[in-house]
Amino acid sequence: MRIWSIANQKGGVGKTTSVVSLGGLLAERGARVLLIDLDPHGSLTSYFRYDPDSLETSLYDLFFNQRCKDFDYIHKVILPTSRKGVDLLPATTALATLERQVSGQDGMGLVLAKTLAQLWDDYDYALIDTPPILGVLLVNALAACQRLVIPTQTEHLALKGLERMVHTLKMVMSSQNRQLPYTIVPTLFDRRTHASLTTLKEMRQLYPEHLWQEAIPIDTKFRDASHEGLFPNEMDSLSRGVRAYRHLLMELDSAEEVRHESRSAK
Amino acid sequence: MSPDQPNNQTRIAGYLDMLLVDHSVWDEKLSLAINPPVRPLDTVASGHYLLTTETFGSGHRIVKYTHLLNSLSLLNQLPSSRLKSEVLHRCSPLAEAMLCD
Repeated sequence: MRIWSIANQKGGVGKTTSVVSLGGLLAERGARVLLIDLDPHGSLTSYFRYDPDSLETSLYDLFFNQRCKDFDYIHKVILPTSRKGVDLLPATTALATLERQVSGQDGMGLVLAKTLAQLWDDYDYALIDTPPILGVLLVNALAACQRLVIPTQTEHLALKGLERMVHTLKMVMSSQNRQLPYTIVPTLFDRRTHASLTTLKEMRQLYPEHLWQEAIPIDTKFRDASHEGLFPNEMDSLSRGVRAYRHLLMELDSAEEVRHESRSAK
Repeated sequence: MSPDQPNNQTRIAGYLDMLLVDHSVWDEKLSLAINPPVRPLDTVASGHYLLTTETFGSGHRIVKYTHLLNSLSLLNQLPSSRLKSEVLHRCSPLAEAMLCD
């Protein structure tokens, strides 16, 4: 299973859109995909017409009583989406209380990693949508994944969130004593605006090795797909946004191949 | 602020160490070494379960040391086997070095 976290310590940068877009494109290839909603806002959960306020079970429950190791219980929490082959591990708004509930308990950052170890043979990909703040949920996402994707809006204020995210990532890597590759993805790019162009240029200067060389453009088709509860590629497989995500997916997969080969060679 | 007072960096580092320390991991690795894994775990490389002691896991050094020593003591209680002997042989010098550290 390939596990990718989509994270940025700034809101509104396109995290949920990235998860849904990549998930839809993976399903198009026939991959078995698990989408994971770690954000208490439950945007990903709502996308598929589930209500984070009224769901009876969610990721929240896996944090208690060792349920993250209970294969049958985990399967009870997982929900289907509109597309065959894509499932959802949903959020409920109770996730917002988790920080307080598990405060001071050792090892609470590893619950999702243990959950995914139970599901290893069931999915080809797991994509994790994360909250924009540093806390137990974001740490779970970083500890569980093999690659971090950082969508970053092409506007000046987003650079601070990006800097903070990269710093947090380095601290988690230090604590876990491992390397975690990351890819910065410029999003909401509007080539007509000076702000988008200058921010993209700055990003290229600051993060030359980790920045994806293309950008996800602003595309109203994303909003239309969300309104219909469809994956963007189901709504319009040739839209500018979907085409950009298709390129991104190819880039991420080839980076994973290289990583896999270099690990195998060791 | 005095140099002894924690700053944001040390507060966050302590928080991460607390969230990411895994008391069960050594037992899991021990179990994996004795019963080969039925599914791959990303943190476990084939054939390297007990030989990654110096770099394994998260948390403070003393926590890692405690896990190693606990695991060796558990290992001692298991029936004799070639694997047990091999692991004890390889880990004993490290455990001795830890006790002297």
